[in-house]
Amino acid sequence: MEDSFEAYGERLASRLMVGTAAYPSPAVLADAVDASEAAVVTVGLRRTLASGGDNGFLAGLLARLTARGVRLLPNTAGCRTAAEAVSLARMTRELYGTHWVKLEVVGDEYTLQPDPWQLLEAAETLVGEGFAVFPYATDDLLLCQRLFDAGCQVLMPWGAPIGSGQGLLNPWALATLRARLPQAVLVLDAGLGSPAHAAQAMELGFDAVLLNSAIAHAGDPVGMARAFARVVAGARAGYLAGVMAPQPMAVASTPVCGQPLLVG
Amino acid sequence: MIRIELDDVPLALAEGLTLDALLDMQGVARDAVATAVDGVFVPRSARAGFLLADGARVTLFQPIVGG
Repeated sequence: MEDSFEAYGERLASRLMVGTAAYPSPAVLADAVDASEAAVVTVGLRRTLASGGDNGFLAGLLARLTARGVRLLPNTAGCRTAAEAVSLARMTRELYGTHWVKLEVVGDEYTLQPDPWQLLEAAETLVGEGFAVFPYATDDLLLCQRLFDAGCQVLMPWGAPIGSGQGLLNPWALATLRARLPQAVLVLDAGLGSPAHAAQAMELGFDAVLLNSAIAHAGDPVGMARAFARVVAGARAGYLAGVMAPQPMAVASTPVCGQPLLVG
Repeated sequence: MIRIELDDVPLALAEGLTLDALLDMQGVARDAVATAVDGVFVPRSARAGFLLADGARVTLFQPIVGG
């Protein structure tokens, strides 16, 4: 049976979303995105004259991805205020032709922690303008609740600071989000360093994970993309199958009385 | 004559120039960029009627990779 989920009415066949930044080469990026089998891929915007062009590589990649049915999720990276983020989101809608937006409003330069007040303000504005907002948030329950109430059907709490690869720093908070927001689509975003981290998120009941650096900075990004794809699917299957409850003491698995081979 | 900044580069232009005309002057394809003036998004549909004022700060944005 195919395992899929919906985000803003769109059925997505893969629970792995990947970023497109920081790869060693355009060719490796293209191959890694293919290997990830991701249904959603994040992209960005930048000021044009700040650096040189890419000889049309990104346009070619995007055309290839969209032809395969991959959804683009433009971000508002680099924004520090709600006003900046709203303005950039409007630009992404025009340039990428999608109303999906990964809303990022960073409040701290050192941790790149989202600013909860600016994030909520921007989310309310963008939802009102018809955007499908994917807010990059902390794991704070009340912030996520407010974002959901504002119309963000998808929430993207962090596991750890962006690019840190530290994994899930507060599994309790993330499990609480899952328990308290059962109707929200939860995507763990940021901080994942290894497939094991992604598996942990999926076994907490998250609907999907989004990552970039863990693949882009791997020794073999294409191999790592493939590994994440398999682990995310496997951990989701494990979650659906029902992970056993931990026991405080040893519980013998081998019967020690009677005639164990003569069951029934 | 007015003076503006295009992506932080000072430019002297004739008065009455629109945002679309500026893109054409710079050889920038109109559908390849998003535009902002003084930090405020100007949609593609509004550029033809958007007259640049003295001191305007024009910023162009293009798609890039992102996380």
